Amino acid sequence: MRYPLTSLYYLSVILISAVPLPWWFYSVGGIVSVSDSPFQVLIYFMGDRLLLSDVITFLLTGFRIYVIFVAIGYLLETMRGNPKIYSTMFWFPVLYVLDPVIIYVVFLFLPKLLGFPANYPLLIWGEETFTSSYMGNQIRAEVMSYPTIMYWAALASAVLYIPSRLEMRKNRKVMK
Amino acid sequence: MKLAASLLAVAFLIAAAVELNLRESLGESVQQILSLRQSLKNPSLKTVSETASNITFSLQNPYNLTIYVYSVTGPYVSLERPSVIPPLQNGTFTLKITNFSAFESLAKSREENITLLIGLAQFNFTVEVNL
Repeated sequence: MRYPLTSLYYLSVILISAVPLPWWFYSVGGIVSVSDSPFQVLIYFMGDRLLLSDVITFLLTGFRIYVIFVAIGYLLETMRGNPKIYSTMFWFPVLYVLDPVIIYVVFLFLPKLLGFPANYPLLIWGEETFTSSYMGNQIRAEVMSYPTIMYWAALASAVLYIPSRLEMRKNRKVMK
Repeated sequence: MKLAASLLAVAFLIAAAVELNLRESLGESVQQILSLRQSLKNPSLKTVSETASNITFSLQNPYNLTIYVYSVTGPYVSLERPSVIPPLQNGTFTLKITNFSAFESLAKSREENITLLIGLAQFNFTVEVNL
């Protein structure tokens, strides 16, 4: 095999996108919890599973199928000695730290929709105590945000993309 | 390759949308959010029994989360013990009255305000209630 690293990269992409586990977990005092990945979303609000998250997950499953099949096709091409570049699964884990930022924006808007104003702290990673007062009453909640093991696996797969590109460049030079 | 994968994904989405009835589940999602919004406005605190030394309240928990009553502060009252109300169940908590006549005169003039410290899972907040 002339492209072992590229093949390994595409193999890991197939595995990462096929496993239905969340990448990131986010919770506001246990009343809102979100666990998501680029291919799935699960939202609990006041202890109830939001049906809307199932609808979103359904649409994302289409995207999951697309990624898996592109990766399978490119893996076969790579093993035949004709590697192709597919950087989506490199950028996703790298840019996934933006996920808490998106959730922050969403949950700035959702409480307003439900009729109670609230401010959430912008928190990328870790645990933070959120305090606020609403109509003279004190509010105190623990806000949690952390990546899961699945996220680290996805990031490890993304790291493979760099040697894979170097390998492609090296082999092309040899061919010329 | 990308075209074939896109076609496959689109085929899945169409097939599943027909099978799962996407329009119906979207409608259900909106309905659920609206009903959650409704249930947020429904506090259900009731007095169960009242004696000279204590008052017992019943609290109905409409959520799939545990509710905790940590403390109650107010003139002439204190919480007997912290109360835990399991998800979707009824629970009670009892207030001890230290000075009944003073308490009664305040309650009659509608000046008996108590502050409850309540926890909804790990979300803690205070509520002021007029007895």
